Amino acid sequence: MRVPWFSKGFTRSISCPILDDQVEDGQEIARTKSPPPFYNAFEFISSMSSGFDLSNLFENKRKSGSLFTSKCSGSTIMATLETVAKTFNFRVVWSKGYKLKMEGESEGRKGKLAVTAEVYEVAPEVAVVEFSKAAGDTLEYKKFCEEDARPALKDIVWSWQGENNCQS
Amino acid sequence: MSQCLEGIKHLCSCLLQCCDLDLQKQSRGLEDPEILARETVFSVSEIEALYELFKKISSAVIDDGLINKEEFQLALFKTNKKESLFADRVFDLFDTKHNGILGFEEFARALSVFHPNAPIDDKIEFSFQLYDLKQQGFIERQEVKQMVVATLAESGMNLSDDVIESIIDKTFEEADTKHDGKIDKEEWRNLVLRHPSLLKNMTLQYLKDITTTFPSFVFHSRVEDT
Repeated sequence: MRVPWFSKGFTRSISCPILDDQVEDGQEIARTKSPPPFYNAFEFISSMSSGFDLSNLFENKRKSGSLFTSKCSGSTIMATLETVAKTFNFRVVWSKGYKLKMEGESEGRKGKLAVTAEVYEVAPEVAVVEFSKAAGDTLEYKKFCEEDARPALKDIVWSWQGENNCQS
Repeated sequence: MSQCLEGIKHLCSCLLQCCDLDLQKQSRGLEDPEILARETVFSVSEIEALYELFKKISSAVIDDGLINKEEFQLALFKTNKKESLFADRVFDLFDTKHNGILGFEEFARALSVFHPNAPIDDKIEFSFQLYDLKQQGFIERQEVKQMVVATLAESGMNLSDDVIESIIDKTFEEADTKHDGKIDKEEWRNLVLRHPSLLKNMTLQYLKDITTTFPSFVFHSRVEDT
């Protein structure tokens, strides 16, 4: 089994790694044929801008995002997500096109945590990845997103939802 | 000339008095939750709980029973240092009296639209107005571009003008079915019905649990203590 490329001391850069040429399954072929579904301007605005999200009125601190943008290709993102799943002992329940569902191994407070991830495309070099909880405890889901997924994905993430990433 | 000035002075003082009265009325607090409950999607206890939230937000900077722009930004971003095109737009839509501050009534009526039980038509209308920056009754390319640019800036992302234009082209291709360069209410409605996720920000699940998050100790039936 290949060692995940990103844990080989890969230095942080905005550019994306080039995938291996070997095509492992039919999914890779399918993904190279068509891009991820289009994420239109309004979807982009309503997801990425925190001013439109009033749920923060009810929270005591800034909510952590479950969505991020990436400059990488849809296929690279899907491959990275699958690798991250395995790193955290999540089983990839299914992976089709630009959607996948992963399930944790251990039983949490409300059963096994299951997370779906979907990749969309705003423009050819701008992808959006949305996580959502499919099953399990919400707190465990938030913890997974913040403590596990986020650091593991940092090499492909351009910007996280609701964060001001301006270099000032 | 001096008569004119007198007239203007008189008019101004009348207006000021009106504003003062209005403000006083606005900041008087929760007078009759039943009226608001009748006119919104909220129950009486939800109104009372909402009032607890309102008190928390409105006392953050100036404790005057009203939410000003700064307090709104603070509540939304947890910092009053953040200016946002979108927060401004939301605030303006809440501010139906157009006096730069939010009284509880405006707060409750606006949030009613975000309740899970609120009619979808209200949500569609509100979201349309959010994007209709110039309030002309239609959403123009320029307005969408302005919002995309603002969103990118907020997130520390930068894209070339060409790429931004192509995103808007593609969006309008689908949304602008009448091909007139703008999105009217009907086109917006059709777009939203095809992409329900566009309304995801228009529903706040928190509003359903508000009585447990913000317990109010105001008992509705006022019983005198002896």
